[in-house]
Amino acid sequence: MSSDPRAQVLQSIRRALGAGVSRGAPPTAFALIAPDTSSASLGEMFCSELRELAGTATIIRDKLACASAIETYVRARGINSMAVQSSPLALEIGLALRGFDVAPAKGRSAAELERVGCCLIDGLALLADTGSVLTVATSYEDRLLPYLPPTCVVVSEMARLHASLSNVALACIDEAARAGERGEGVIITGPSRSADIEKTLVLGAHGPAALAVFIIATPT
Amino acid sequence: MIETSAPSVRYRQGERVALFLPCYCDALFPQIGRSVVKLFERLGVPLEYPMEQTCCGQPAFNAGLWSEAGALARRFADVFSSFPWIVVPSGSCGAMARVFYGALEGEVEATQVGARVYDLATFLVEKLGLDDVGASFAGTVTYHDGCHARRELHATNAALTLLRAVRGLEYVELPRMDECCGFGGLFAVKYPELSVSMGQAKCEHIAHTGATVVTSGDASCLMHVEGLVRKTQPHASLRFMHLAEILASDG
Amino acid sequence: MAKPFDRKAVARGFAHPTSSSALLATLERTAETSDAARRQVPWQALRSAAHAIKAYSIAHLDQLLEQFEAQFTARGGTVLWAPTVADAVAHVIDICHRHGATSVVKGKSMLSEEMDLNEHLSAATIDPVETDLGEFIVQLAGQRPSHIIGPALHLSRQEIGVLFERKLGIPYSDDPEVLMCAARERLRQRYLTAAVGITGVNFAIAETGTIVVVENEGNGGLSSSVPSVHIALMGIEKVIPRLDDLQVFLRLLARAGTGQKLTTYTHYFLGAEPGKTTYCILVDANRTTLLADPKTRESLYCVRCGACLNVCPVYRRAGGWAYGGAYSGPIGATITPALVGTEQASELPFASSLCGACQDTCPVAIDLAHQLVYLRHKVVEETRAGNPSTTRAIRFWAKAMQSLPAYRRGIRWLRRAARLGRTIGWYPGLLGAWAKQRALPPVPDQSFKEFWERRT
Repeated sequence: MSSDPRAQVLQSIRRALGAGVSRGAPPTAFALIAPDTSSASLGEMFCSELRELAGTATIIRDKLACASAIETYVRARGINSMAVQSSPLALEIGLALRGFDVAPAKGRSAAELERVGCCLIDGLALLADTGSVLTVATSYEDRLLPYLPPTCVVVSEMARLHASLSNVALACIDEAARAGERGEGVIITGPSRSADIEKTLVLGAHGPAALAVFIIATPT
Repeated sequence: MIETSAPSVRYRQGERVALFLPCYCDALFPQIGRSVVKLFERLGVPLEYPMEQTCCGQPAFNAGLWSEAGALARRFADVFSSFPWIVVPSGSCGAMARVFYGALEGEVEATQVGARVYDLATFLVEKLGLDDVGASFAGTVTYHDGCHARRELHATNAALTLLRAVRGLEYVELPRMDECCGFGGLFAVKYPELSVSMGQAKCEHIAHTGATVVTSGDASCLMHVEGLVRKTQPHASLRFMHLAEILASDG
Repeated sequence: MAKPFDRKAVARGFAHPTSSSALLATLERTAETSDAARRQVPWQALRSAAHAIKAYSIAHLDQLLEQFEAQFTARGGTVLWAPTVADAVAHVIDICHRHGATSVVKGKSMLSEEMDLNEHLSAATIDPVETDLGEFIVQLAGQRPSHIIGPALHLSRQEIGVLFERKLGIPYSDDPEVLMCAARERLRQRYLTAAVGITGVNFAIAETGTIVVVENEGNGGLSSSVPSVHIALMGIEKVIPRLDDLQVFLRLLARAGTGQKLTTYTHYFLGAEPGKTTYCILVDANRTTLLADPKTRESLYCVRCGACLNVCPVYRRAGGWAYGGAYSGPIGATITPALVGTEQASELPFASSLCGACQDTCPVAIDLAHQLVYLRHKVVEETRAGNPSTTRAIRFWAKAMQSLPAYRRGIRWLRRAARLGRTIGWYPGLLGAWAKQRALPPVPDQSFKEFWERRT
């Protein structure tokens, strides 16, 4: 390899840009005016967007009812085992579930997680206009959760509902970034899909074919 | 040196207007030039035709021969320098002057004169402030949008406004009007399979409308599509007329 | 390598009308879906904002890359620089050897196509496993991808069914769901046994040293998360200044390319967690050539959405392989001359009717059609290629246009040739190329100039 590839590339760029190094600031950040909607209608919007993507969304009264609803959902799909993301809300709900093998993902191998029927992850933010969920994973095991098991269950709260993707919504990822957290944030918009064969839509290409979001209205 | 007027400025009675007629129209479609002359007579706007004009230089420009295109741009500027308004019945040549003279390195005068060039429809609607030019034409007419007219000159609305005001004319919208007909100048003879395939798609869309007349602001597009129709359906009664011919028509 | 847009190859391609018309119909539908999705957001305002951010990013490329490097490194990642594709390949192979990788799982990366990475990995006895469904299919078929977003769109479901039956040993089926399940099954174990995962990069944020990758299938997530080593291959032009800027692009990207509001997965890599090693390889590979010419610089704004391919009447008919390289469609025609050399790519800028649909549809408002005309000029200036006989004919015509008498002689000749041709049924030169499938117009008695003279 040539002398110093880094210097080579940077020199090449500087030569290409020519004289006069500008030090201006980037353009003013684009401000998308979010629609002035009540949280109730945002909730409706979120649910309908996710349904259009073949996901399911339910707004549920409180944590207890949420746990019960998740139990029903998972049982109906014939799932016996669940791996839980190590974030407070997911652990709280996960460990309240009864009737199947629920355990935190922490300490389990990829091969083990591959055999689990379902994951439970924390939706740190919800985006109403696209039916999207944001989550942050800061360990190896948590990073695998949204992709390996064939069903993905998300638990979140109405207070975390945003009208649209915005800097406020991205703040949860940004905070983790700035706090020096390592790992991966991901915005999930519906179940895994592909249209690579004749542009025909199929679900569950590699990631989960089923995505279910449970939104707690009053967490206390 | 005549200053180029601001976009919102309109034509004032008495100002000189020059007709710029594409070279291939001079050769093969003189009726388009005659129609513009007749139309301007009807509207009471004096029109001049500087005999010295030859070609805007677009074939050279599109072939990558930019110094030859520059020479023709300079010549154009010379020929038309004394006219505050220049009208051309072509979106393609209009775009060459208005938009692409500016891409030629250092052609300041050509760029300035080019900015005074307007395609026919835009001149009538935006500079003369007309939608009804007193035309009558009986027939079911569909309109094809030339790519330069649409995307470089944004002349579509003006053309449709004028067509809709023609007495007796029944306008039918062409499906996928914004799709290229496949002419593209050099492209038509360099990649004939692609060019003809695109033209055939255009023919299918035209057949779909049931129109008896096809019009456009660009004779080059019409020449290409009509060429296909005449070759494959020699007995078809479909007519191809430039927008100027329809607007000059008295019924 | 075959010369892109070799005219004989294009003519031969038309001998297979079914695959061409299937692609055309598919892309017409995709363009319509995309149009509907665009109308849901303030499209033009977003486009302008995106264009401005990219203009800034490209104009400050060196500073932003240095900032990104510092931040990415602070997060425990390693940045490597590659002036050429060969350098990038060497980095990847070196990393694989150091981590004892005998196979790698790959998310979709156009840059890896540019690098011919799979060939080089195989030669180094490292098994490259394509995980994106479309890439998996073309890899099985031994073909190159034909579309930036849908690599296997040129294949019918029946053809894929036959391919899977032969190569995967499953019973024949042409049901896309069955085929996808077969691919998913086959790839599951590959994720678990690969030591290295490779993805591309859609955006790199300088401010925070984070990498953003978007995808629909989840294979990008699996490729980057399962193996303990993640290599992110990045063209240097992918860097943007701040997190604030990301949402503009996220709003445009999926809507432009597929008509989705957002891709299923938008990964935002925060740096290597314990036990993980991440590399980001910054690749130049002639992007600085595009950068050096102000007239081609905007092509670096490209976000690889595929919208220009979807609307291009030439791409829809000729398909991706006609472009002869990793990138096809209008963006391919624009950047390939810089990536592989003007001589080799000399036909590309001419294989266009310059309709401008690409420029209109581009979510970052790149002046694609204007660049294509400019590249024609470059080709003519720099090479002796670009169809010399046509160039000579136009040069001759341009000369004639310089004086009125010469012009009038030329017009008289044209009218005579057209009139004679109609009588004898044959036309010389370019008129002949026209007349094979199109009639020439009847020649009127007088030219306009003759009419005008008689009038005055």
